[in-house]
Amino acid sequence: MDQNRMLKPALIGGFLLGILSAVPPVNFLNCACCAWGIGGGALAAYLWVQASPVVVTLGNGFLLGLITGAIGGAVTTIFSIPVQILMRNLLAQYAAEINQTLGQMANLPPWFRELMQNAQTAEITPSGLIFALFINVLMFGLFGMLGGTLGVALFEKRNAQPPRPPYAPQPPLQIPPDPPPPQDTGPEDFR
Amino acid sequence: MRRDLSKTIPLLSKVLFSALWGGLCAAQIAAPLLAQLGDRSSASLLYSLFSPVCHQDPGRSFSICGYSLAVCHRCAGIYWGLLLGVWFPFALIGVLESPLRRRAWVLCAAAPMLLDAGLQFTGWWGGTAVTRAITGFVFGALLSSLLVPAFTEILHDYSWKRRPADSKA
Repeated sequence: MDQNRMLKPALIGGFLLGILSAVPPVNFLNCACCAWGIGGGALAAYLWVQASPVVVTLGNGFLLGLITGAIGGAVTTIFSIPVQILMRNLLAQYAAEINQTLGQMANLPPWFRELMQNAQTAEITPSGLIFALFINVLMFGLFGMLGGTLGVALFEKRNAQPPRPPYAPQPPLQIPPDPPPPQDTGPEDFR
Repeated sequence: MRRDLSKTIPLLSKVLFSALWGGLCAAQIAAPLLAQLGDRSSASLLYSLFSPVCHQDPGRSFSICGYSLAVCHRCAGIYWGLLLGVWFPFALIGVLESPLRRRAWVLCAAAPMLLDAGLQFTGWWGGTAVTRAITGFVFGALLSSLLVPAFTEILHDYSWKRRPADSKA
């Protein structure tokens, strides 16, 4: 597998999915079954299939999508910092209206109400960022992997070589032991 | 004893994927149960695990004990399709035999979900919880039919890469 060839589509797909997943309102599409995650993986697979002189297999797409999603997860986390600061300022402006709406929704569980109220005053902490990075890399990696495999299945039109069977260690050869050397009994005259 | 890796490796990838998707299916059910039991921090953790990849709208999610699952109807269908699709014998149907058949399979299995979601945006079809879950399930099974052979291929390659080290030892 040519890993140098893999890096460029992974970076393109990863950065694109990362930025689109962080910027509102386009990040809303991630709510549709992580569309940007799957789309980023599929885009990377498409770019690799176009550039590759050899047939790209499903396994290649799997790995490519995993790397693309992990890059995208990290990029999303970084890009979401300025977005969160902007959103927090915006939420603070409309805090009274939001709290009034939450108060009117009687069916909301209390912990969810508290969660929404905390979001208005949420601070960006290093531990929160590390947690977000972990979650984003995990979930986008997973969905990127789905997208990469799906992309290869969809865009690779060439026939692959039949896969080689797995390597299985062979049992040691049964070589008969060497015959014992003839005993040196000396010249017959001295017997 | 000599191991038959041609049978072990596909089984291993199926077991690994079952554990992965099974864990995620269990997590989405555990979230409302933990919320019901009053363990808010654990429930929030599980809800936030799925929040980057699902809208988690309570009106479009199955619920247990009055609390919605950690994912919507469609995503729940996808995860369950991924889990159960691992053990479906897709190789017997031959959907992956050639690139053409593979592409036809991808388009046919993804089309119901895309239609269901697309028609809801246009307003021609409202969709129901059942259609969202079933079309998601078929899409999940499609993904599983590709992921298991893909991961099996990676494990096969890994077994060949390890070969020189084995022979040196």
